[in-house]
Amino acid sequence: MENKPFIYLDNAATTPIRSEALEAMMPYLSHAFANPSSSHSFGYEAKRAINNARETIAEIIGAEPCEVYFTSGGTEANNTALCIGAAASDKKRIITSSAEHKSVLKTVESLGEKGRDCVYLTPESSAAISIRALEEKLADDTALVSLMQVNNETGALSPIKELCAKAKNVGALFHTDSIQAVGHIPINVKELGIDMLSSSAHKFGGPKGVGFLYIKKGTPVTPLIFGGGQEMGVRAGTENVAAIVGMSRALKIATSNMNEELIHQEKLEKTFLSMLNKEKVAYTLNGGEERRCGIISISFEKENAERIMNRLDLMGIYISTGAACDSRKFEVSHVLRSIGKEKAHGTVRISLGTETTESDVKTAALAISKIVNDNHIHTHN
Amino acid sequence: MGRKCVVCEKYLTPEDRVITKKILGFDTQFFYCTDCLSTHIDCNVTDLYLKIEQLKQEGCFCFEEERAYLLEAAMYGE
Repeated sequence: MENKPFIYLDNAATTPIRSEALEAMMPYLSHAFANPSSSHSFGYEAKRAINNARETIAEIIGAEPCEVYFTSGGTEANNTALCIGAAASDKKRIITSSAEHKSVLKTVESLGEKGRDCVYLTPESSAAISIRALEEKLADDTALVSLMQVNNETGALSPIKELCAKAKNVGALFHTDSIQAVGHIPINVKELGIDMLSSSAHKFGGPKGVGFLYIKKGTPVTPLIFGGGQEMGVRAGTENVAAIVGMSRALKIATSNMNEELIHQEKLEKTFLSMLNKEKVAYTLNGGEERRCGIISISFEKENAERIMNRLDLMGIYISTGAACDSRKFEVSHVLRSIGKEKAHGTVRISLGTETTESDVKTAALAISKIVNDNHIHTHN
Repeated sequence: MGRKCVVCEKYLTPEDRVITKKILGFDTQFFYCTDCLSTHIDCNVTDLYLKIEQLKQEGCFCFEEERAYLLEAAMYGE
């Protein structure tokens, strides 16, 4: 890749790895290369690094170390959680929402093909899930409820603690996809009362290809990957020691700096939106009142998100759209479709990060205003 | 309409039409050759060619559609 200057505003897709995380990983990518399952002391060094990482992560989310299972990322964590939840009882019903990530929706669909009764809640216009929506669908035969904590496209926060309490009333297991929440908002699994939680390292400054799944002690677990006894028998395969260590370091830093980061991103959001207002750009902010700071989903009426994204791309500004081009038509993302956004075609997501500066958001806001307000662009001069 | 660049009147390629749509919107009435488009939106022409390459690599269907459109337009002398 050419070393061109750019502005990265797609942190909800992935974050740059923190230098401290990378530094922590290096020994396990070089001289400390032993297999953690080896019985010698060299192997034990790697094992100890994994155990330390497990303890760190457990402490951060309010869990016990034996409740933290390392995975290859968020998708695997979600797949595992749903399969465990479905296998844990003979009950038929699985409840999720249509605004979930594909790694949840596709797994639920697969469980449906195996005879489960799958129910999809309709989210609010923000993409959050209301307690009422869940109450209406809960039944005594509900085995599992899986709802995301922070919507990846709009940043909407769902009331997980209250939703979980409702699920518990009918004896269902509760899983939450917290991939956009962990490292960004405080999380205590015991306070939330949940049974399972998924997370992915590269969303909070860790490396790609690693994540973790919290499974409450006592939950009946069934492995998805068979082989050695790694990850307490739930996930066989030699552990990715370096990535696990990097994830734990990144999460430790992310949670230690959470308040400063929140203030930083709030300030950037305010600057960005006030710049759009100053430039008289007509837009709608999605995600509702309860939203994770740093994920800005905005819709521009009669606009085309892909056009905006491509123009910005050419300027070296990287954002994402909620719609993907499919030939002449646009395939609006299932999230925007499920929340019924009429303006979905003109919806873009700007997601901020630790390294985002005030100058970045000002430049982006001015560029967007130029693209959106530039009426002559469609016409020949 | 849309077989020639609105600026230099050069005959357009499917690539020209696709990149115009991707940059100006699918509802655009005015099509540019890639060189004139880069001038029109004030960007580096190499970046536009890279974007075309990226779209092709990603399997964008638009190129086939534009090729068919241009063939048909040529046949009927539009």
